[in-house]
Amino acid sequence: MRPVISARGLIYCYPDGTPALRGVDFDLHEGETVVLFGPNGSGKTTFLHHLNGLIRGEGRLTVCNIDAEARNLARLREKVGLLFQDPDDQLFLPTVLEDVCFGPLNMGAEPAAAIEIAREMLELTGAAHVRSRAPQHLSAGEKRRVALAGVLAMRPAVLALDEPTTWLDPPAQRSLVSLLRTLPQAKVVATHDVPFARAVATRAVFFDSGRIVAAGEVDALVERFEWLP
Amino acid sequence: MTSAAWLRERDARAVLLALLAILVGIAVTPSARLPILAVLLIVIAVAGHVSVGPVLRRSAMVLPFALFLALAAIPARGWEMAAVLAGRAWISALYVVVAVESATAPRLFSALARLGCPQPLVTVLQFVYRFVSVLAGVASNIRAAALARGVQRAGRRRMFGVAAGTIAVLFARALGRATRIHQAMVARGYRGQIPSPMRERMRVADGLLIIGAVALVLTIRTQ
Amino acid sequence: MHIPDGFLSTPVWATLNAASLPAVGLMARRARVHEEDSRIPLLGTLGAFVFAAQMVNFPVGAGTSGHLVGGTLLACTLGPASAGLVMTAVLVVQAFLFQDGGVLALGANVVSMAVLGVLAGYLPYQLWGGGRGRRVAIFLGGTFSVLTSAAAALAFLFLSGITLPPALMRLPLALFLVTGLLEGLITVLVIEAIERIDPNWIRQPDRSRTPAVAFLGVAALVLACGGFAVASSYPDGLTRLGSELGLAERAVALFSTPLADYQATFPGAEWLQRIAAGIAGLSAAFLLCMAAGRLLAARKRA
Repeated sequence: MRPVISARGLIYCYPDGTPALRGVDFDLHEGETVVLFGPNGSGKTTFLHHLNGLIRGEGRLTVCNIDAEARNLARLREKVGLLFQDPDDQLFLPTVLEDVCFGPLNMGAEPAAAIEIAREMLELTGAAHVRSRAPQHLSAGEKRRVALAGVLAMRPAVLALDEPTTWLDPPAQRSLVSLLRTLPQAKVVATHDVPFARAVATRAVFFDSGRIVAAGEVDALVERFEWLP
Repeated sequence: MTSAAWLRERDARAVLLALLAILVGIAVTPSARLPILAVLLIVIAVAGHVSVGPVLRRSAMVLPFALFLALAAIPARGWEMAAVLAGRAWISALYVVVAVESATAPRLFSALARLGCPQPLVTVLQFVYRFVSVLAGVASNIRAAALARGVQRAGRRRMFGVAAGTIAVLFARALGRATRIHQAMVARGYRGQIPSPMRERMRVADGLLIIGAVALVLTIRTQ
Repeated sequence: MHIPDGFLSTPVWATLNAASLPAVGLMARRARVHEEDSRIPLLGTLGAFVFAAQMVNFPVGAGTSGHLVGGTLLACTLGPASAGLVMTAVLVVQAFLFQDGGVLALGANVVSMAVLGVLAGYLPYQLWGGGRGRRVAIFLGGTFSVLTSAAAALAFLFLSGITLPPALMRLPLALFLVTGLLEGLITVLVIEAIERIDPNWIRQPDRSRTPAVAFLGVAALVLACGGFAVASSYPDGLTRLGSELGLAERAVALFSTPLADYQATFPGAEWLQRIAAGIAGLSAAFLLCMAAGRLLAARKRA
């Protein structure tokens, strides 16, 4: 079976010339949840941004058999749902419902259909009760659920999550884990949170200085790189 | 349907066009008939359940400068004309505030685009509007950080120096945040329009709103 | 100088709105911003920055205060076309959400601050911004920019019949000079501070376009100062100007409504005529500006 995501020799430099990715090879298969470990600035976020076409580097990247090229960007963005580390970067419309509708409406959904999907996704992520509130007045856990609903509303085939447990209290972390387990999509998750990674991951890779330097079970990598506080 | 909902459900384009008609009306109506437009405004505000306090407060922002300009006109034109000038400025501002209250700024901006305003301008407009609050947030964080380390005990000159130095930091941080926000929007398929789940379609009622505004202005002017 | 609604006479605001439309169109086209453009965050942040800076008032003496306008800051970071576009966006947000400047007066404010102010502010930077006189160029740009915008705004008000007695004229001019010098100083400080963080955020003057920019910049200065000089010598505004230019006295008097409305008892037909005349005038101004824009664009391509 062909992988959902396939990256070969991905290279990217920031506009000022600093290298961010120095040749990343990566595969993600149907049903997998792969955790990205690695120090700050090792290229995890840059890699996630490639998946959605926000950044385009050299090398080959296909997502659901779509090449990451300029003319395919719109389709690529429908396939990959990217959840940002800070929900405040993502939520920007006056009410929760409008914000969740943003993606479907961009994809050309009718307003009524968009509202329908939005309600469904808010229900799924357990944020239905806040749908008419203003995003800035929500708790960190609620914001995360709303942001995730906004991503899921685009019905992506792959989820790319950047540090999804940041700022969540332990109960909110637990419910995020059970929520992620119910979602059928293949997932790539960048995180420093080892207990969270153990709970969701099927396998893990370790980034260092823009390369994947190791791959394997979560616990094997944690032990090898002493990746516990 | 309540009258409040009626005003809020109007297509933002209709609100904008009706507003323009009334503003032109205010500009060309003889001063003796200005009170008619003021009374009409009160009717609209009451019917639309627009909260009076915020409207008055926001419209009053026009007053300091308008009064200053009116004062400057007194030597040449006399008190009465100065009062008319300030009054015109204030009534215009009141109508603008009521229109923005009922249609909301983001919808008005999208309406501008659909009325033929160049897309680059609307795009920049939406982002300036969005980033003002981002900037305010970042600024209050920096201020809190400075206060937490006792900047207020350092005296005015030092405060000023700190403020000047932080402007660039403020800018850099706000820009970083703005970049992430823009990326998050692009990641969810943003292509220049911020769509609203509210149905924006010109209906009969929207046409009536525009025609009503124009007719009213014509009547007041010609009577 | 954000002119509120109600102060400009109809011919003045109508003409300026008509003139600003093609100007904004041209800026939008030259700025070449598309939705996924990575420059959008920079444009938006600078716009928000200028917006915030315009809200901070500093005392300039005689009991009044001034604020940063930011035209030069925008022009040195984004180039004149994008700068004008961002300034226009800032003015629209202020007019609709903060009642700072009127909605009908938007054309006037766009012409004075986003077009003339930005061009005048960019001129010295374009000419000397690449060499050793850079600081001075930025400083001069800030000062010019404020003086130009202020002269233009005063000219618009004077043309509308809102004049100051000559004895009082010195006061606003002195205040604008102080504001202008402060603007120059602050612009230099801010640009240097931004440059220390990332030099890429400041744009180097584009040598290949010097003649075009110089022409536009000088035109902006001349237009604003000339307009001011003409307007200030006609104490009754357009009414008087019109009569001396031989326009039908009554038509002009009835046209400049804000002040001339006490003798207002017109039969309807005459009023309709004036509306028609107004629309004709607007269209003429619009076509003229369009043609001028086309001509300029064509010449640039040639």
